[in-house]
Amino acid sequence: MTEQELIAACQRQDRKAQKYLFDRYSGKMYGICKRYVKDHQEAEDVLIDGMFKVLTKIDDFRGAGSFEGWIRRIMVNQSLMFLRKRNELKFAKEIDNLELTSNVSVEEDMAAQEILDLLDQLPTGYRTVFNLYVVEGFKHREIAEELGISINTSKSQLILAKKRMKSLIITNHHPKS
Amino acid sequence: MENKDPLFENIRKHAHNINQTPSNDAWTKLASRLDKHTLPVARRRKLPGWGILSVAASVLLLVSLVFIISQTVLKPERSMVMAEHQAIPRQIEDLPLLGSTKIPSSPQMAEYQRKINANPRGIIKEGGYHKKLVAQSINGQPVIRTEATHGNGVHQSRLSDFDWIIGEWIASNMNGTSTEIWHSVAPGRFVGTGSFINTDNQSIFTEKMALVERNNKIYFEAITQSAGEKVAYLLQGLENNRAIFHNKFIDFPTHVEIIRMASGGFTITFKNIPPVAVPNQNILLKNDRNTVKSKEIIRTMDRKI
Repeated sequence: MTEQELIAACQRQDRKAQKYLFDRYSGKMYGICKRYVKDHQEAEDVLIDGMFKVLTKIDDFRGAGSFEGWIRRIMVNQSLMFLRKRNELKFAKEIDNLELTSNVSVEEDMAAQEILDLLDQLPTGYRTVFNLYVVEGFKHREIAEELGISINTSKSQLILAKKRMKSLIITNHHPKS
Repeated sequence: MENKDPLFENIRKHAHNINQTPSNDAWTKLASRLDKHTLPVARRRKLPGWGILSVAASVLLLVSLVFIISQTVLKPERSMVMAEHQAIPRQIEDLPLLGSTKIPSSPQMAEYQRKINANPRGIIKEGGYHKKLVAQSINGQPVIRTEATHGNGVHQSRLSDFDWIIGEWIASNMNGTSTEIWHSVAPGRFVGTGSFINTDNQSIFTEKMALVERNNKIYFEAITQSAGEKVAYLLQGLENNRAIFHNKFIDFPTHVEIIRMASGGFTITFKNIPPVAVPNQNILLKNDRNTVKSKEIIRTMDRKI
């Protein structure tokens, strides 16, 4: 079944096609939800909410851009909405002139689970900005608008997130004896 | 620039492809929600021919009974008022939000929800589905009151002082277009739905508001999709073209000020009196619809022509 055929069948609310779409994308999309939402069960709830939105709003997909990109965007939005609802997006104060001074070179080829474990150890604010900037490729201006924070706060959060992440990697890979 | 750090480049590459298997229950839960969502359509498909006929006969009987009762028991004008009110959301909580998955409480609400989702800009067209909702025409005359203070002896402000807000409002910025639609939905109740559409024509969020007259007091109520909680501000003062609402239990903003501008538009300002810096932490008012200044958050809307 081509992507167009799948979309058309889902638009007709064909349950088999909806299940096929779920099976095809749920793994990647659950991965996105887990990058934002720590708890497995809550991340799965966000996945279900997001996929419900995808399947009930599939008529809104106009074919501009990739279908997977459209679903991905809904999942990110759904995750952010969940964090906002839970009031989990707390941001540290802006820090002026903060530089990423760590000169430790850490270059690891990390597995998916290692990345999730690292993200889990970051505070929600750091994790969210890190995900949006580094993984999703948002600009600071876009993050500021999305999260209702200033551009400087977004920059500070990212620098702090990166610092924390580097120190976590160093600790995990070179634990003090 | 910082993404060039090989560590984060590596994380970006791998994070994009993280694939985790959800539990077996996930599809079951989703399918069950989809069933509820599409139940009316599915049921109709399964009915055999005689089933459809019997349903049609029952509906006909019911309609006839309602017609007879309305003609004999209710006065004509009373039944018209009831019919109009049944078709419109009565409470701010009832008003559907863009993309809401809440099951509509009535067929009228389901239709309203469908229209909101299908046409997030919510354009009201003469003769369109919104027509019933625009119960009051726009009051062309400016509301001018001098030295009037709500509930403090000079004279009592009424919700009709805000008649001018009924209708469609619009504002655009570099990120997209904000719209706001206010309806009079019942005596003593105006409701407004705000939405923001970005430049990619994607709806970002919707926001519900209400102006309510209750026990001779007037309140501005707001409820956002993200917060899901209603916050009410009591009208504290109304003079000339400026209204101030207050809620002392909120850290920020304690005051909401609505000013009707000579240009025909209006501004709504969220602030504290005395002024304080807008908090750094994420507050819902910091969104594309509003301009965040150091001590206040402002939205300016123009009348949609």
